[in-house]
Amino acid sequence: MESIYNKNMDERLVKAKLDNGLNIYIFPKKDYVKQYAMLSVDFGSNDIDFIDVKNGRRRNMPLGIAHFLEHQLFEDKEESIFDKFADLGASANAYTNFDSTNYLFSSSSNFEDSLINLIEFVEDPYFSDQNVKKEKGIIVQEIKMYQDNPYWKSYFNLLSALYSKHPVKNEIAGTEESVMSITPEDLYICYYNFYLPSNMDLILIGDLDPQRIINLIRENQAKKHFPHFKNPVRIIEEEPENVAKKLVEEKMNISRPMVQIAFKDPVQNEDPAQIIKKEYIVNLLLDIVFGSSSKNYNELYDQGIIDNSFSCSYHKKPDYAYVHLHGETNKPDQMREKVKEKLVDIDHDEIKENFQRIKRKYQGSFIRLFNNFNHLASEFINYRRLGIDIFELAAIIEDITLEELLAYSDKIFNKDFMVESIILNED
Amino acid sequence: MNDLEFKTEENRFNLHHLATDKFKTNLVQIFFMLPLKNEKEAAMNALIPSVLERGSKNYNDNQLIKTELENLYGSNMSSNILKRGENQILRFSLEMVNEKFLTHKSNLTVDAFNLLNDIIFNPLTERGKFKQRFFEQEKEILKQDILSLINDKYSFAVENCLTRMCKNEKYGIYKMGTVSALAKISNQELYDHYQKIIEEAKRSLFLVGNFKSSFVENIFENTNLEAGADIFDENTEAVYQDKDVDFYEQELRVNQARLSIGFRTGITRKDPDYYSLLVFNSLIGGSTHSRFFQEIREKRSLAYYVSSSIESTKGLLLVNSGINAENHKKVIEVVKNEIAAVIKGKFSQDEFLRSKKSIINHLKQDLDSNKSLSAHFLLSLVNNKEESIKKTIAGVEAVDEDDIIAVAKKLKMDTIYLLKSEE
Repeated sequence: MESIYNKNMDERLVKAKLDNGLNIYIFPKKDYVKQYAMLSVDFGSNDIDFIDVKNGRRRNMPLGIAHFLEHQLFEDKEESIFDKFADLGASANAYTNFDSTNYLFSSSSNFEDSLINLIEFVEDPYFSDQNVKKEKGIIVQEIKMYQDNPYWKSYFNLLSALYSKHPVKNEIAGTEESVMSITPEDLYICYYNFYLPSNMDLILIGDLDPQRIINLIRENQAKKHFPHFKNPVRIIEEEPENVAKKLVEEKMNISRPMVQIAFKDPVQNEDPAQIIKKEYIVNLLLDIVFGSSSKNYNELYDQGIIDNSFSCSYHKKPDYAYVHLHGETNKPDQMREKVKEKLVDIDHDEIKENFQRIKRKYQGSFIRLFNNFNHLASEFINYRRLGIDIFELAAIIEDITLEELLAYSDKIFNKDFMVESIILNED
Repeated sequence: MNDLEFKTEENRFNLHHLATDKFKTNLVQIFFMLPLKNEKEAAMNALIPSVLERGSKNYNDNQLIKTELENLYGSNMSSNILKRGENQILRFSLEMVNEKFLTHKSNLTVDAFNLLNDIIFNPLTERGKFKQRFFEQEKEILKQDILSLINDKYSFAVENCLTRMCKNEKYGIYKMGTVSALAKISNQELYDHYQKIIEEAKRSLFLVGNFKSSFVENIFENTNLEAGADIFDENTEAVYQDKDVDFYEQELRVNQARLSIGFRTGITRKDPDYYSLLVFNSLIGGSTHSRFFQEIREKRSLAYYVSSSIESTKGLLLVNSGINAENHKKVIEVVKNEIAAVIKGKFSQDEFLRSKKSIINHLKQDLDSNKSLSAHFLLSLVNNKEESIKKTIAGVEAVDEDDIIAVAKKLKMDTIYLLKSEE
């Protein structure tokens, strides 16, 4: 057990790793009533192509299988999992994203029983033809709900324009066809490949006694046998440098057009601290160039080209990265043209003038992170998977220099790597 | 640990202060209560904060305001229009990090508060009106906001159900008004209306966090917020009537049909039955352990989402679900049957206890969020029943099975709305 205290933030992080490889992270929060636990599995919608640890065969799974598996683990032989938590006064939930599946509950009493419940249901799969069939109906409704969401639609159109090979182009829940093709056997294969304690992290937040909790989990895990498989080898086909498509257009029943623009950023081999630092640098840069205090934002707002639906951000993972700008507008052509124009020719003086202030804003947002358990857990796991503890972020932000922003400002907005996704309203 | 209760400061007008050092941030909120009268006024009330946020005398454009907020370590300032019963509530919020977590000395709270005060009370004017350009631009943006309801099919269905259900009541007015009413507003009218709000509207000031005593003591010297009545609702008519159920259908090109069913509960937060209603809602549709979720989603696989929620100032309960249109009768049938089952007392002790625990769990968790603490207190204040979370929990604890049955019996189905795809 290792305990790290951050004096500035007055926050503590306790870490432990069990013999079976399960990582435990605890933020003890004195005086808080809420208790929060998240079991995060390093398996997301991107992990569809991998070498089966059991027999060395390559597996190509239907799209949306990680999300399906998340739904399916809530099925139990007798009692509803939701009821088991509800009986303890806790409420359970789960979500799947590109790179992880996360099971969580929040409670205000009976934390230890709820925690054992969480671990037990994730570690006890039960997939039958009957319950898999039932879940398909539910997930198809979920997919249809996303299809009516113009932001979601145009976001995935954008990703499919950016990437021709990388699985991030696929919708997290998959398609109606892919979901209908999923079998219990597929689920078991994914389960024994990815749902190993060594491929999971447990994050706990609340007024907790770390030593006691760790002992409790250790005892629980010692009773179980896990096959000594290595973690699975994922296959990500090499992504060409070029974008897949320059433009995707679609029509939907909406009030006004939606424009999404992205710049594909080629990835190199970088260490985790570099990845995170670059993510911050480019986000700072975007805030200076197109944030709500920027000259550009206010000029285009004034011309009625953008409004407060506009936003921009940069996303960076070890295997993909892109700049993302989007907004609703009645002047889609002008918005596309202006955004391009402004980004391709960035004024260095503007960066110099605004750098310190925007950095300060990021220091403030780092402090805020510790206010909200759900947000803290999801951000923590993001950085943890890259090998960085969240306290280190403060120093990473502090270390950012003006020169680094200036250097990226000339490189990252390359028109050749730009794609656009437009949703127009139906006539 | 303190009790996390709002104290209404003696001799200070409408200052509700919850002192705690639990959070990393401090929260200031100023509320104005605006009774719903007609669509034009609703649109004016929604437009005013957007125009104010464009610029004040000392911070005369958006860029300057945003720059100042960033200087203040990314403080957040925002305004919202809420609908509580037959009132719009105009809420200005300011949240800033607590100075004690900063490595540099800073006068953050006072500086941020001065900015907020300037935005609300010191607008940029031209010839006795708002700056014309701000007025025109924000009017256009609000128009787009009203129209954009259709982009979110969940809210679109909810609002369409409620406006039809309450078509003869003030509650049927959309919280941002309508496009046609908005078009009729002139800058002069808007400015006059703004002044009327500042002078006459009911108002309240909330503080949640670790504020210096000098800041709290001098707060009214640092703001132009004048004395006035607190934000107690005297406007809402809680309609509760026997009638035939209305059924409305609307066609749009959608992938998923949306079903909304509106009920009258006849119960508001002021009523002793309120706590029973909370438990009833949890049992029938408020959560994943609830009857609707279990019967409609888990057993019959008819929906991804199905839930119920209550409006406790007007006395409504709404059931929402996303389904295949051809299943809508089946879903309505299940909803009716499950309510009928509760009336007959057909629910287990376990279900009953779960429902109570779930409510209590959520209420307790509200103690850990400054915004939830504020939202809870706001609702109790609006309903003229100032109540701490602890007291609400005690009320829920006291509910028994018969109380649930009594609430189920009171429920009256009023309106069904179905949004489905074009034939």
